Amino acid sequence: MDKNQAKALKEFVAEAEEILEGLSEDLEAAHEQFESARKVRPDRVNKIFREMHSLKGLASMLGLERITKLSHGLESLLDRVRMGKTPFSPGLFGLLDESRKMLRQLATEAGQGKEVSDIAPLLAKVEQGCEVRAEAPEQPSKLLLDEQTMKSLTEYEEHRLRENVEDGNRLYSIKAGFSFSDFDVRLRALAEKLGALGEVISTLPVVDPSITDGLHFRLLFGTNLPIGQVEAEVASDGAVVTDILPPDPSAKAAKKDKEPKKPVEEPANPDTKAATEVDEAEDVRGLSDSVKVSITKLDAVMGIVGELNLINSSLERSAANMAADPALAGLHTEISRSLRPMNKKLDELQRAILDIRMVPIGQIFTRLNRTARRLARQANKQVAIQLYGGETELDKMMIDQLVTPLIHIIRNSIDHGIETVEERQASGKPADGQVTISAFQKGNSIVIEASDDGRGLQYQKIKEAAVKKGLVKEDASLGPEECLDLIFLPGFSSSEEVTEVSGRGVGLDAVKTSVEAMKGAIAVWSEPGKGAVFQITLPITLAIIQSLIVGCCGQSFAIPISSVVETFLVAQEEIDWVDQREVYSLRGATLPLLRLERRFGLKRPGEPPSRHFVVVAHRGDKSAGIVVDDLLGEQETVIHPIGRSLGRVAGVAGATEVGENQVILVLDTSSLLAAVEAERV
Amino acid sequence: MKTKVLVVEDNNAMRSLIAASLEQHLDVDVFEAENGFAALKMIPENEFTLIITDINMPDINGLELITFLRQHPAYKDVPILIISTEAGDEDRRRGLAIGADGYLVKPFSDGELVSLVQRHLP
Repeated sequence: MDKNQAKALKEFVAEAEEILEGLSEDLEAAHEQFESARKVRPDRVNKIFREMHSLKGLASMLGLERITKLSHGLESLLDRVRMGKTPFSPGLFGLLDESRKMLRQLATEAGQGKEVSDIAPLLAKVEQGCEVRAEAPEQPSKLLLDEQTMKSLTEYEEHRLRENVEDGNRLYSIKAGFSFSDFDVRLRALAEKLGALGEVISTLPVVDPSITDGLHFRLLFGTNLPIGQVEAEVASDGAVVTDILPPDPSAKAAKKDKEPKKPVEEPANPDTKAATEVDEAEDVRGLSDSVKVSITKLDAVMGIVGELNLINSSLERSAANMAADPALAGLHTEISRSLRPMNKKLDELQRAILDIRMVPIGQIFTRLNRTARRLARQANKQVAIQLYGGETELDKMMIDQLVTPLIHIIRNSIDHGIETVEERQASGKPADGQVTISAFQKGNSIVIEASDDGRGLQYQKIKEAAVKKGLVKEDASLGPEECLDLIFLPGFSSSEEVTEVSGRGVGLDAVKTSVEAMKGAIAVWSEPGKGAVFQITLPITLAIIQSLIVGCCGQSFAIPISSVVETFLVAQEEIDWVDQREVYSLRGATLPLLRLERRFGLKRPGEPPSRHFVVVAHRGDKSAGIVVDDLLGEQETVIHPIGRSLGRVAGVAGATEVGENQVILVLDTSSLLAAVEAERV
Repeated sequence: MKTKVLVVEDNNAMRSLIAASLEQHLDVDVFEAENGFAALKMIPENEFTLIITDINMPDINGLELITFLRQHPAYKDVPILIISTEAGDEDRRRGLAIGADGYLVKPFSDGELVSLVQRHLP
């Protein structure tokens, strides 16, 4: 092997690894889509096809025979899949994943000098896979499309065009002109915007002699939106929309007819199953004892259970009223006897539904691990990634929303926390930096910790940066913890310069926002020179939460139990004043207090009570006491979002029903406590 | 002035390899565009003598690029070669129908590439 070849081979291995990583992520995403919707987004399928295509091209240039052969077979298979000629199936995903692993193995082998793994059995399966045929595609429809656009469609784009027509979508031609200097950025932005509303099928640059300093494009766009809405969306881009599919009622009818033909997971009836179908049923069989349900359907069932709970509690109240009447006491005992098991069953039902929503966090660990390794490689650092507690279960909705914040934190740790090998050795640390993600359950919460053994956060520099940004006053006396909290402030990290100085804080406000959107909280600890720990605390599920119902000034509020540490009773005279703030000395520690009536401007009917209840709530590792008049009990609550005007009030998470059609507000303790801390600063 | 050749291909390694073998064997300056947008930016500023393009690319595909070039006053007669795949025979046929002059099917050798380009250079 000559020097050039060796270099080319080395480059190949790096590039192949990159492609295979992307492929792995895309396959995973496609599989998820397929499982939840029985369909995979066409852009995703196309991306997978293109990844395989790139890999094949690379391998063949270098004469890597086995990788070329296998990726070539896979490319043909994926080409059929994206053209709708071969349908997706669980078996197909299995095959693709197996192939991906084999390709990675072969790439490694190629890097070491020779491909050795036997690809024949896998290749045979891939060829078999190509034999599986979907229903015959329908004839292309008549379109009012200009010849130029029509002729520059690839076979795949034409297929997408047909699919859009079959799905009953509208088709539009969108013409937009951009200046030469930034057409790529603006066109991509336009395509992205449209991509969210439908599918951009093709993008054709057109020569317009009247334009000298810019470029015009004609986009072919399929969507179910009416022309007016599309026009409104693209108006700011100066784009002109033309409807190119005349109204055709048969398209919609055809779609309706097609619907029942979609693959439905039903256990095949052995009596009627023809012998020839045995092979085709192979793919279906693996799934026959499980049914994939979309979260929205599950939410609907959960909503019904919530309502049942409300009916149940109103029955219980009626029963309690009966008990007060001696004439009805016998009836009360009888009803109570039936109510008790019903209560229990409702509880079980709720738990069973919740259980369906729960998935192990390990699902995203593989993705995190992969991303972390890539980031480390990009940053040229040696990092060992440790993942613990993958079996910890979390609501499916939250799992998906957790990925981005966690990647953000990991990126911060790798980019800014972990030092270079030289720095680490100089300070007596092992050469490999450690980034650890661990998940565990703690009471009604799930805690996810991301820690690193890097240089930690530097309090003084964070404060300086915050002062510079006008986020705190220069003379503010901040403890280390308050300094750390500054990194979550919006605007803290918007400047490059600040990021450089602080070494941290890149967009952590965004992380905080998404964690809080999940009714969770985030906290950070750091020891300079030793590392940093980010801790995310989340309720186990978003669907239903146990709440403590409290009363204040004649009104009721719900406080999520997950954020309640304890409650106790205090007399007015036990409350102290420190720095013009009310505090209570709890087991020797000073607990800041927060009065709901003051926070929300509630009017108190009559005299204030001489004793109060204090609900101790925590936010990360900090706590404060919420002072209320009464504790009214615990209840399972379904949080409903509230309108925009109230939604902006800090301290309110949503609303919930508490029987007899009474609606009360659910408090967002995290933002309430943040307000307390802000006052302290 | 040296002959300018534009290679439009989104696969970095593939593109560099094509560029390297052309520059090694022919007396040409090779310009590389990583996608259709980059190509559109380079086209007006340079008088390319020959353009090689991949078909399957994000944003703007090879066929769209060819359609554009064939309408462009300065490029309506410039030779265009398609890089195609065995599975892409239908797209290759379409490319030739809208004005491409030749094609290569991956995997191709240095020799095939160089001789095809040579044949289409003036």
